[in-house]
Amino acid sequence: MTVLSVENLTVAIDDAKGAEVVRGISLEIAAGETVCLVGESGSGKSVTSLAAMGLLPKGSLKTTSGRILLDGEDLLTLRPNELRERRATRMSMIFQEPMTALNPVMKVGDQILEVLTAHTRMPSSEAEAKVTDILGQVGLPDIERMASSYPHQLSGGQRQRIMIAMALVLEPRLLIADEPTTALDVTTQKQILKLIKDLQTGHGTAVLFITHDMGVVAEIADRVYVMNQGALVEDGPVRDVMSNPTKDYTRKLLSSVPSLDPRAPRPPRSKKPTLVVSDLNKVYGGGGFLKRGAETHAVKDVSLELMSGRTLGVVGESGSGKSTLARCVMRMIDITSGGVKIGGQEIGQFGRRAMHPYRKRLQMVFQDPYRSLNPRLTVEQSIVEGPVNYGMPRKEARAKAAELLDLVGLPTNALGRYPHMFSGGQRQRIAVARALAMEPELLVADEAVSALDVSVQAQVLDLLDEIQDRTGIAILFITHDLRVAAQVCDEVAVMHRGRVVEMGTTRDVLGNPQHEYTQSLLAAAPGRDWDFANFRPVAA
Amino acid sequence: MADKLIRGAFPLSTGKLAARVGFAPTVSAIVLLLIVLGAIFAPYVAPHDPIMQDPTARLAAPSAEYPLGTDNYGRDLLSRVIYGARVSLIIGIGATLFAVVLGLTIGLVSGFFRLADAIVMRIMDGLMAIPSVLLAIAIVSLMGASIWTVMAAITIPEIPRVVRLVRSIVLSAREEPYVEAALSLGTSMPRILWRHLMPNTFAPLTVQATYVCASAILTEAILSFLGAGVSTETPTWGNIMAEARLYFQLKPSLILWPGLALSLCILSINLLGDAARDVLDPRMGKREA
Repeated sequence: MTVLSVENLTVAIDDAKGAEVVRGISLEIAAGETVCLVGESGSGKSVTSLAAMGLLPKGSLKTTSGRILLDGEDLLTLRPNELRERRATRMSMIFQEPMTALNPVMKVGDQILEVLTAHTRMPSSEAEAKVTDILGQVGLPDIERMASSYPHQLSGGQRQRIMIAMALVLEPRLLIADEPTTALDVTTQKQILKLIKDLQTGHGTAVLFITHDMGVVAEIADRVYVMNQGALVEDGPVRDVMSNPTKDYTRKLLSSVPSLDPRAPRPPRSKKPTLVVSDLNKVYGGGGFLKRGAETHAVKDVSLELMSGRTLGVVGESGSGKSTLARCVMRMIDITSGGVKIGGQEIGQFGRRAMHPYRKRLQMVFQDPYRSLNPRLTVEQSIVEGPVNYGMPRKEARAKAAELLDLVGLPTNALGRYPHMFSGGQRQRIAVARALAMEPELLVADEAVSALDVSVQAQVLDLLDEIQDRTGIAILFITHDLRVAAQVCDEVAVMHRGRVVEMGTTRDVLGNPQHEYTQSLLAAAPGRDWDFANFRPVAA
Repeated sequence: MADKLIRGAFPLSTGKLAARVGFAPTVSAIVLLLIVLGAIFAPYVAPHDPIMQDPTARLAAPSAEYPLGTDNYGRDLLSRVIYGARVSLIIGIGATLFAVVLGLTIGLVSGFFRLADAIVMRIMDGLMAIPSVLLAIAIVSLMGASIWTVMAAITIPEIPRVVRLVRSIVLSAREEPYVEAALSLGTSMPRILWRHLMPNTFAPLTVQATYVCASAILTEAILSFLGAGVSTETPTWGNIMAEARLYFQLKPSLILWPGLALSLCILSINLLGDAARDVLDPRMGKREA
């Protein structure tokens, strides 16, 4: 039985020009079915779901035509208060970042209770029992304590469970999940996906699941709708679309998904390592003048070696200490103990002044290309900043900036423009050009492709590979994504709670993991049974 | 989404400035402009010399000769109010400039260098604990009353507010990846402060400056009223009101007119400040669609 049916929905920007951001979308979801809406950023998938909830931002987006039928009732013709009532009782939504969706100054148990008291006439004892019941259903341990916690006291996964509990407590017919696991670690993601699946089977809820991650689609979807630039590209049962995509865009999207099949290690270019990290420790906090604080041992006895022309991946979940390790290597922060050697020179205990000549030998590419470029500087100003700091004449630096832009595949007229005029992928190229302007021996890429769409991600990875081929630069690649690590790294080090638990060639570590943590990471990688690029299941 | 955020960082470049500024700010701008022009061209605008006494027309009622009447020495009230704007505006603008420049410098240093921060902020906390008018009276009585000491006395209590604002902006901005990137490019500390951090403070500082200006003008009037401001010969709004206090029962308009000028001036500045905040700070006020 169809729960939600969207017919020819068109959403436009609410101004004089009225550019359409979603064009003529039709989709259907039956009870007990999970439908995935996939697409890259800007494809209109979130706008579609917000329109269904009647939550389009007022004054900036509006539906111009089409119908949205929930159990046969057109939501677009309802008055605001009727819509609000439907939204509470018949459909609900969970978001990517549960922290922003929860009230930070109210206990989570009370927040769920509030949903019940606002929309039902349930006696309070019954409502409280219901809250306890739903918290149990979403698999939270120690329910009493959880219910009386504030959101900031819970982990990301626990918060998302609370959101799910809140969304399902009124037993809605339809659940819209907008990238609910994107901000979570893979192991947590796996649990949440399973939870949604289980609850759905139990309650017969229809689920509209929005994601950019093909792996997640392979795990959870019954049917899939592919969107691109506001229009529907292709739809069908998930196996059909993945094994036999009919449209070019879908093929391209699927073949951009990096394979989990590890690359063969390349031979090092020289005998001498570019980077040697020995017994590195970093302890944060621990109080100071007039202050007392708890210590956090973020990196524990880490030792690594990286040859020129090779890529060493550091993989791990959030909080594993991989970013702290990167910052220690870059000497952005002081090291508690241990050593960092660049090209044979120990820099671990250098002060700011002594460090200056070595800064140019190690450069970094950051995760968020929207924030790693100063919005007030032109691309050229950003790129020449480093060389000019090291005494290169400005004119020469400019010529070099133009050369580098060409190298990273951007037109030279980009030099005079500001970062906000570029897309995420282009910005990341600019950031790469900025780092290369220093002609470093070591490039530290801290989640450098995590914020990008898969197709753009593939391009940036290719670019890094090409540059490495040409210059023999060593890359320390920090990532949480095993697929990306498998694609680019010769060797990987798996970090867990500040320690390296397993290290070796990518082929050995990912192909035959020894440590149980590595095994659990691999097991949690979504869609690991499917070979996306070849449109078939992974050959066992 | 992100694009919108970035555009928010350049609100002035998006044009449509006039469309986003409403009715009240336009009126305030006109009122303020009239006050400023009146102050600059006071000798031409004012009908009389503000300190010329006419013993035959003490506490006179408004007439063609004296449009707002005269005070107890027979001086023309309108001329005195017009000339009074000069001191108020000089002190308001001067104190604002000093407070912003000093506050910006101290705030930048304090936000970026942890060690300086601990010391500077405790001094600022101490300054904020003293009522600003009391502190100003103390400074004036210590150094004698002149337009400069009054300006200093008004500036010093304003500095902590600017410092705190700048510091909080620097504290959040220095965590931005582009600052880390600049660090790894070997950019020196002063240059990071100047080029990557300071531009972030301009918009909020402009807004804060208008409030500092309004508050400085008000404090000046209070000091004059209490007899701790510029010497009583110079007409200022505060002085006029202080002298008129004795004759309040007899001729309330002596307090009314300078008080009205003061209120209008401060209201205009504050309204302009609010408008500046709406335009410059994308998080407050109207959002762009």
